[in-house]
Parts: sequence; structure tokens; C-alpha cells
Amino acid sequence: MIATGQTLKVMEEVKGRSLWVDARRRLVRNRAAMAGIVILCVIALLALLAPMLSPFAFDAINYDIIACAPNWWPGETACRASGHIFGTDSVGRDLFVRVLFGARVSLAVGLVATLVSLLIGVFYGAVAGYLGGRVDALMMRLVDILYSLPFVFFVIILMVVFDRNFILLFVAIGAVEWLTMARIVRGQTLSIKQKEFIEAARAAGVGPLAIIARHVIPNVVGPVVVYVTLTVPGVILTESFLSFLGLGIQEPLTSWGVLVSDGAGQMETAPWMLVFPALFMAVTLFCFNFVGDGLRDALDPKDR
Amino acid sequence: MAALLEITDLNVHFALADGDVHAVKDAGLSIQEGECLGVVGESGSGKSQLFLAAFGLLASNGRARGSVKFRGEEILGASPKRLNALRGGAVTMIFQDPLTSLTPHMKVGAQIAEALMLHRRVPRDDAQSKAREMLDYVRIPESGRRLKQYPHELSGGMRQRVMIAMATITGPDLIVADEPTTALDVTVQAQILEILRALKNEKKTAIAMISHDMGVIAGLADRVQVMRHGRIVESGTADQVFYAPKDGYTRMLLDAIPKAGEAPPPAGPIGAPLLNVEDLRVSFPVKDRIFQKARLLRAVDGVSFTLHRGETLGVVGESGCGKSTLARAVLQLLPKSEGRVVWLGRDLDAVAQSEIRKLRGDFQIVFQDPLASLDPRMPIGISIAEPLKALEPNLSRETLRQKVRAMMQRVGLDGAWINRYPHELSGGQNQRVGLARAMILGPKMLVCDEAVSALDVSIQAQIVELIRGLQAESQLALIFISHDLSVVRRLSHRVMVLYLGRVVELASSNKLYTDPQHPYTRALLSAVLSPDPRAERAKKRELLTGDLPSPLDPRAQLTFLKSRLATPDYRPKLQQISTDHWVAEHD
Repeated sequence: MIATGQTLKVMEEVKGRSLWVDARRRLVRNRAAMAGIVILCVIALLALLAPMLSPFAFDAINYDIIACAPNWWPGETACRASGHIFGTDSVGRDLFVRVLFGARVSLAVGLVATLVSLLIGVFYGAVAGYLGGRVDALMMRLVDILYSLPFVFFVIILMVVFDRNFILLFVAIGAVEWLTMARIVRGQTLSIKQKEFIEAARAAGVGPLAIIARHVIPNVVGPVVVYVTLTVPGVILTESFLSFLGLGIQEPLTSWGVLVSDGAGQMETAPWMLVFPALFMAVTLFCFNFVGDGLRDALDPKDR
Repeated sequence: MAALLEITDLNVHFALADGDVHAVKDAGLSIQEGECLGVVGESGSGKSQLFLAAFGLLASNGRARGSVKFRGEEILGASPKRLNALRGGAVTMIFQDPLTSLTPHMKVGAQIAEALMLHRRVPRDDAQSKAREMLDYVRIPESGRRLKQYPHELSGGMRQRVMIAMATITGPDLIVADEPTTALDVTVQAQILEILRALKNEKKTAIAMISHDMGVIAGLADRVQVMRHGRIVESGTADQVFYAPKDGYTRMLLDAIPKAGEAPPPAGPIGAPLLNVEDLRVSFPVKDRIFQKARLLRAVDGVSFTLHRGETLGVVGESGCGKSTLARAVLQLLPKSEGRVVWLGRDLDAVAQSEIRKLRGDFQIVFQDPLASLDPRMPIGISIAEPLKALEPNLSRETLRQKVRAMMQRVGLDGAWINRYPHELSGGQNQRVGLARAMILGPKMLVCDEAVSALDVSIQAQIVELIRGLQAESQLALIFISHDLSVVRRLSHRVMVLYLGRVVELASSNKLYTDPQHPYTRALLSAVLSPDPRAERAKKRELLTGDLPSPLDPRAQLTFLKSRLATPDYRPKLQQISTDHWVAEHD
């Protein structure tokens, strides 16, 4: 039995593995990162199943129970019997459903915009940095020009030209976020380009695109992952800022950013309106950070 | 008379995440006043840790037990204050890498003077003038100007001399020199050893010389201790250890060093011409200031040679002579400025870039730094397979794996290691990976760019043996680049000596080593160290003084042809003096 176990192990080891397979194995072993992933999945699942989890609709206004405390809140409350487990907001809508609907928007914006910025930024930056010379100068000047556009002005123009639209929010935020990513990746690429293993790959006959994909990008992962974990919260906050200006999500739809900023106004009279959305947001961002750290460690073979 | 330094039963442990490492085991040694003790061992033998522990410089996870007496005073576990007073005063150290041991933002003069002001309480002005004296003593030209320069403005050899000046200015009783010449060219190494010898003879300073290279120790040490796996396996006078080694390990170390009289190997028959390089030039524009007109740095300045199937061409020269640039230009990794590279009758200028990529299977390269030339995020199996994947994308996974396995076996790597990462292997193993990657396409020509220079001497010998075996199997042509003439001799049929981008001598290996004509070749040869203490002590060296001149200086080419200095654009011409021996004009 032991002998077969050992042969199995040897066979397994001899079978070729790649960085990504190894990274997954290491990620699975990282408890904090796995906990983060699980919690994020739970939150995402809750957001998806929101309509089935509560008898209340997210936009059902009820003027009888305005700013009602959760039904388990200590002290007197008007809606002890109503079943609003997170209480209600200033027009009597159920906060639990609204937090979950907010999660839909916030997670979608956070993930999609970050993913878009990741894809464009990493590729753009790596290409500019690797090719260097005039191509690099041209590509990075374009980034500089886009950087210098005032963000709010840019969003307003988009809204005017294309009409107000949920997708536009992604486009607008993504269009700005990838610029920083491109700069970071380009800087890293410039230093990696000097390394001998890149020259070795060139000498082996590997083409420029393959070198970027196989050697440059895996080696910029460290700083990129750190920046991504900073981007997700940044994007969620940007979305709430745009919504606050009336350029983002419109009532009755909501997002965590909107809920938090509404709740902040009622902090003294109805603290639950701030506490629940803020709690969800904080937990989510925490989880993203753990997952990010886990990914960075998993993709570094020197860290075992 | 009591010993200057007496170490008895010293043990050093390191607490690591995966357990305790016993780095030094019951080591004992003693150094008398004015004596030089050589400590030899391969990387990881604990030779550096032994001395770091003795003077309280261990990393924070290290612990030392035993006894270390300096002039009869127990200093192991002494107070940091006492140790600080000792270090830099009575005991000083010289480390391997002179750039990282000098503070980058302090001028050289200030750094040298600092030790004196700190330990001997000398006023600043006196310290500065003493610093200048020291620079003169370590033979740095224009010492007045050098005092006001920063470390990065100096060459490697110059920096190491500054380190020696710093280490001697306080008039120490003992200097611990930890691989002081390993990072340097042979010619510079000879200069540095000359200075250390003078220190020992004139100032009667005791020296602890730590090195992996028996040759470095031979000319300097009075007594030698050999370390292996943290234990001292042999100790005795230099003559005893070198001429009558008792321990098998010592004998192995001595055998690994290429001997002066060793004949070059006939490695299979030499065939038809493969590569023809004609008047190759590579230059880079250099600007010191923004608005200055760019000047041309001629890294390779008109080199021609022919390489045949199965032949090895050794390329020798100091750092900065353009040997790596030459290799890269030949391999089409760098654009050349002028000249022709003809591969199997095809002028590579006429071949499209995409076509050249396909040709790369025929000419491959192995780099100097085995770790840096492998992608740290790629298991070695994938690194080895990479050229195959790039040039033959249609191979099935199964054949790919089989080929990688077979290649790994051929270069002496365990096939079960395909999933290891480069940092999990030793330097020698990584260099085998580099070789496997270069050989997997079955190239016709292999360029080894200082491929063994970063390795310990014993590993060097193994890799050279491996390369020779590969060559014999497939009539491989080799361009073997090194600054170390003795290694080149083991492999080469012909040797080409480069000086500032030009060939100064090209001859069959035998002729070049037995009958060198050019003064530069002679200087390089006399700088080669042999593990023979009597010969080393008696040797009269033809030392080159100072540094390699700047290749930007048009007159630098005429260093060995001073009679032509009136016409600074003149280039020394190669003259044939016998059938296979060309020498550049010289005075």
C-alpha cells in the first residue's frame, strides 16, 4: 500500500506542471485566501438570490415604517413584528434586500471594471515596455493624454452622448483605471526586459508576443496583484461618488456606496442604515485583500 | 608567543524555518602575527560564516559556541561596544563585492578617512591626507582626483583597492579577506594579490584569506586550511597541503584546477567551415550630457574569424573588451553596425527576421549567470522545452516530454526534477539546465559566454567535461568566451585574444600558450594563477598597471603601439607570423 502510494507520488511529480498549476495548489493551501474566496462566493450568491431570500421587494416603499430599527435591535422599535432583519431606510424600504441588491452593482462594477483595467493595462504596459523606443514613447504619451482628461467631465460627456446607461459606468471607470495599471506594468517590464532569461528566450527563438505572455507577464504579477487589490475598493468608491453626483446608479436601484453615503447622513438617529452596508463592504474588501495576498504568494515559486 | 587569533571548537548554528543548520562544526584555527592563513572550501562550506561568527557578525538567526581569542582576550560573546572597537581597528575585513560594501552616496575619500577618524581619533584634515597616502599605496593613479569621486565612478578593481585602503588605514593586525578577487578579471586579480602580498611583507599584517580557488591562495598563504561541509578536513603549511595533500577532498580540489602544462584535448575531427565573420563592428552611441553630440563607443571594432564544424574557438579578454557583444552580434541578438556574418554560406543580413528566428535552432548560447538566465517562475522542464516549443510547435506533449527527459539525462540532471524551480537547484545544476536548453534543438554551434566563470572550481571542471562530451558526440562548433585563460585552454583548438574590441592575437591553442607574441597576451598569461606555491612565490609578473583604458578614447587602441600615437586614428593591423598565428602590430 505504502509502496503504491510512493510510486503514485513519483509519477505525479514526473508529470510536467506549470506555474499556474503550482499556483493553484499553493493558493488552495493558503487558509486566509481560501476563507476570503469562500466569503466572497457567499456574498455573491446572496446577491444573486436576493429576491428569493426576503419577502420584501427592493423598491417597495412603506411610509408606515420609516427608518425602522432591525427587529432584534435592543430598545423600543415600531417594527418588531415586521421581519425587517436589517431595519428599513428613510422611505421604509427593507434594508436587507437593498444591501443585497447593492452588492450586485458594487461587485459587478468592482470586478468588471478591475478586470477590464487589468486586461488592457497589463497587456498595453507590457507591450509598450517590451518593445521600447518609439513605440513605447507613443503608447505612453497616449496614456498621459487620457490621464489629463478631467474624470467627471469625461463621464458627463459620455452620459450626454450615449444616454445614461449602466454599461457606461463600467466603461467610464475602466477607461480611467487601466492607465495606472499600464504605467505600473510598463515600469516593471522595463526592468525585467534587462534580465538574462529574456535574452535567453530570444536566443531560443521565442517570438516577442510569446516572450511577453510567457516571461514578462508572469513576472510582473507581484505588483499587479497588489495594485488590483487596491483597485477594487477604489472602483467601488468611485462608483458611489458618481452616483452621489447623479451620474451613476439611479433610484430605486442602489449600490453599497450609495447606501453608505445615505446611512452616513442618518448615523445618529438610525445607525443600522450605515452599519450594515458598511459591514458588507468592509468584509468584501478585506476578503479581496486576503485573496490578493494569497495570489501573489501563490504565483511566487520562491515562497513555499 | 601567543597566537594573534586563536579559534577553538567553534560551532555555528542557524535556525531556519525547516530546522536547524549546523554551518560550522568544531572548527579550530590559529593565526600568528604577520602570517597569512588561507582558508579554502567550496560555496556553502562555512568558511565565511566561521570568520563572521568569530567577530560577532552573524545574521540574527545564527548562534555561535566555542572560543575565539584575539591576543589572548576572549571575544566570542563580548559586548557590542568592545567588538565595534576591535572591528575596523585591529581587525578589518574585505568582502567579495566591492560595490555593495561601499556606501554609494559617500565620496571615496570620506569613506576611507571615516575609519581613521572613528578608531584613531585623527582630525579630519590629517585623515584626508592619510587617505590619499593609502590610495597611493594601493596604487590608484591620480589619487587626489579619486578621493572626490563616488564608488560607482570607479571600476571594480579600483573599488576593491579602495576597500583595501579602508581596511589598512587604521594599521590593523589582522585583515580578513573574504573572496577578495572572485568578482574580478585575472589581470586585476593579480594586481590585488600583489597589493595584499606587499601588505603582508612590508606592514607585517596578518591576513586570513578566504577563497574557493586554490590558485589564489597558493602564492600568498603560509598555512592552509581546507573546509568542507562546515568541518576543517585538512590543515598544514602551504607546501604540505599543495604538494602532499592527505585528504581526498583536497586532492579533488587541486585536480579540478587546470594545470599550466596540460595539453588541449582533441575533441573529434574538425570539418567544413560553418561560420564566417568578416570585419564585424558594433558601436553604441554614448552621451554624457543631454545636449552633447553622441560619441560612438566601438564595442567590437573590426573582428574577423572563421569557425569550423567540431572546432572550439576560445575568446579571451578582460571585462569590457567586447567579447560578449561580439557573441551577441554573431547570434543576431544585437544589431551590428558594419561587417558580415555568414552562416553556412548565407549572409545573415539577407535573411528576414522571421527566418532568423527559425535558424536559431542551429546556434545557441549558454550564459554566465545560471540563475539569472532562467525564468524564476518557470519549472526547469518548461524552460528546457521552450526552444522546442518555439521552433517546432506541432510536437505532441508526449514527445516533448520524452525529449526533455532524454536531454536532462544527457546533461546529468535527474529526470524527476522537471518540476523544480531554478532557486531550488545549485549553480552547477542550473548551468546544466542552461546547457540542456541550448542543446535540445541539436545546434551546430554553441556559444558559451563565461559559462563557467560563476561556478566553483570543482563544478567548473565538471561542466567543462560535459561540454567537451557534447561536442564530441555531435561535431558541435563552440565559441568559448572567458576571461580565464586556463579554462579556455582545456577546450579550445584556437584562441582569440580581444583588447578593446579588436583582435590582438589569434593562434592555435598550443602556440598561444607556449609562444605568446603580443605583450597583452603575455600579461594575461602571467596573471594566471597556478596551485603551486613555490612557483607562485617566485613568479615575476608582467603586470599591466592601472585599468583598461576607456574605449571612448581613440588613442586607447595604441596602448601597445606607442610609436604610432602621432596618428591617433591608426588601428594596429593583424600580421601573420606563421601558418596559424596572427598578431597585431605592437612595439
